[in-house]
Amino acid sequence: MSETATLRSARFRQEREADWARLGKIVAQVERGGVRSLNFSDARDLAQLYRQSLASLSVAREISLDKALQEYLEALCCRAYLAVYAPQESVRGTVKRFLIFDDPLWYNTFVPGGLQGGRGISSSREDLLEVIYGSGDEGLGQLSAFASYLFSHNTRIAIFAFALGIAVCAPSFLLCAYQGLILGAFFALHVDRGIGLDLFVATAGGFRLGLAVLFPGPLTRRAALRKEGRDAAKLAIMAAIMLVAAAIIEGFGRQLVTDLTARIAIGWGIGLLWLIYFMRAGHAEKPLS
Amino acid sequence: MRLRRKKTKPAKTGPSARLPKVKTQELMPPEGVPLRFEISSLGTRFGAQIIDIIITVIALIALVIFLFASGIIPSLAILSVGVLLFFFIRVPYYALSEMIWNGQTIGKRICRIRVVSCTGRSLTPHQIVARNLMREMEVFAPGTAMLVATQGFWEGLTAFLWIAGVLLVPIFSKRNQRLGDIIANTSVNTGRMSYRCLPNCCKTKRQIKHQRRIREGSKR
Repeated sequence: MSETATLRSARFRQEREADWARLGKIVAQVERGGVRSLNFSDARDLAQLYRQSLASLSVAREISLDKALQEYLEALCCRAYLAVYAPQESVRGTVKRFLIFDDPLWYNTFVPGGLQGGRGISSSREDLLEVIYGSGDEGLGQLSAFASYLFSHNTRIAIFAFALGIAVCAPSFLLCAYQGLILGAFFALHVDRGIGLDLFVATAGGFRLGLAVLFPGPLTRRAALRKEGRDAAKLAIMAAIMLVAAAIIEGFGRQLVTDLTARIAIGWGIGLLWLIYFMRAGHAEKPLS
Repeated sequence: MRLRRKKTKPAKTGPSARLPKVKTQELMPPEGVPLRFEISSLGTRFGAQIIDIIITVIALIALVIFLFASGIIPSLAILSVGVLLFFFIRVPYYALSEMIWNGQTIGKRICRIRVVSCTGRSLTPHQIVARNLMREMEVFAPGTAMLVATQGFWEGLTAFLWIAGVLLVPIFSKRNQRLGDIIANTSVNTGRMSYRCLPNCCKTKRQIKHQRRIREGSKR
């Protein structure tokens, strides 16, 4: 009785062992050098061998062969699964897709406009923090370093607003309100539309997460979180990009526009442009023509 | 402790003593055969995180020294530039490396763990970005809070509650997920499976040891 069992097990293994070994080799190469390092025939066989070994795994589970053999197959299939289902999008493609979710031409016309015109967009912020930190604006080098420090501060707040939103909205909302207070106090002097808007964007993202925790609706709390996370992450990155733009403007062009009305006009203009960008963002389903 | 335990329980050689308890998780790939993944322990993940932090800090120090030596930035601004650069290095580091190396950063590679999507499909860029944005709140915010001395009772209490809350989530999570993992629907699993080999084909010491463990386990 036991002899037939071993025979059967041995036959099962004997018939498929070469394929398993080949798959193991291919997978090891993928783990070392990525799918691109495979030659044509290996790449072609990877998917097929993967399915075959999955089939053997399910057989092995059913008829409970040798435990060690089953363990081997489990591990082999897991590794092959990871090799087959690796992230398939390139970094460049992802970045492109993220930025240009609408008409690409429009984006191109926007960026130089922002770089040329928006010198004053964040100067208010800088003045504001100069007051807070008591640092004078002597010397260009120190100033731009300071601006970059401000920027990291801003971006962190933006990402924080997103991340904190998950803790039931409150901190996210408070942070937003707090920033709003500071902005409001200095509003008459400096129009700081750009950064204010960034914060609202990030907070909106966090807020959606928080709302998902509070009011999960028909979904479980976990599933709701996940669903809202999709938009929230996008919003957070968008806010970060806006802050990068603001930092560039701040770093380079701050000295050039000193007229107050020009600053105000530019600030509002940039704010308006961002608004248009976001309003158009929802209509990406239409194919580009 | 160690010594005493060895003395008092020398006879325990069963599978429960040898094979550590591992949390597993089943993923359903499109092929329809559920795959069993071993969930990484929190200690391993902590180790990987430390390695990643060390790597990013080394990159940061190198960059700052370069900038300082080349005289681009004045010495006064070195701290602020450092803070900015650290932020700029670490945010893309995690997301890009997990995207390029299929859910592994360098630290995760060394610790042999990897991020796996719980959907049974490949990791999407969105999942990677979401779980790494949450890292900012879960790892770096408490980290800086601990480094920077806090003033005042309320500030300290907030920091403490925050850190405690963030730490408790993965401990009580069924799949050791942190908040970012829950949002992105991912989990961190061990990739330490390559030493399993076909029975009777073992080559390395590690493989042989594993085989013996299984054999002893199945005898019981």
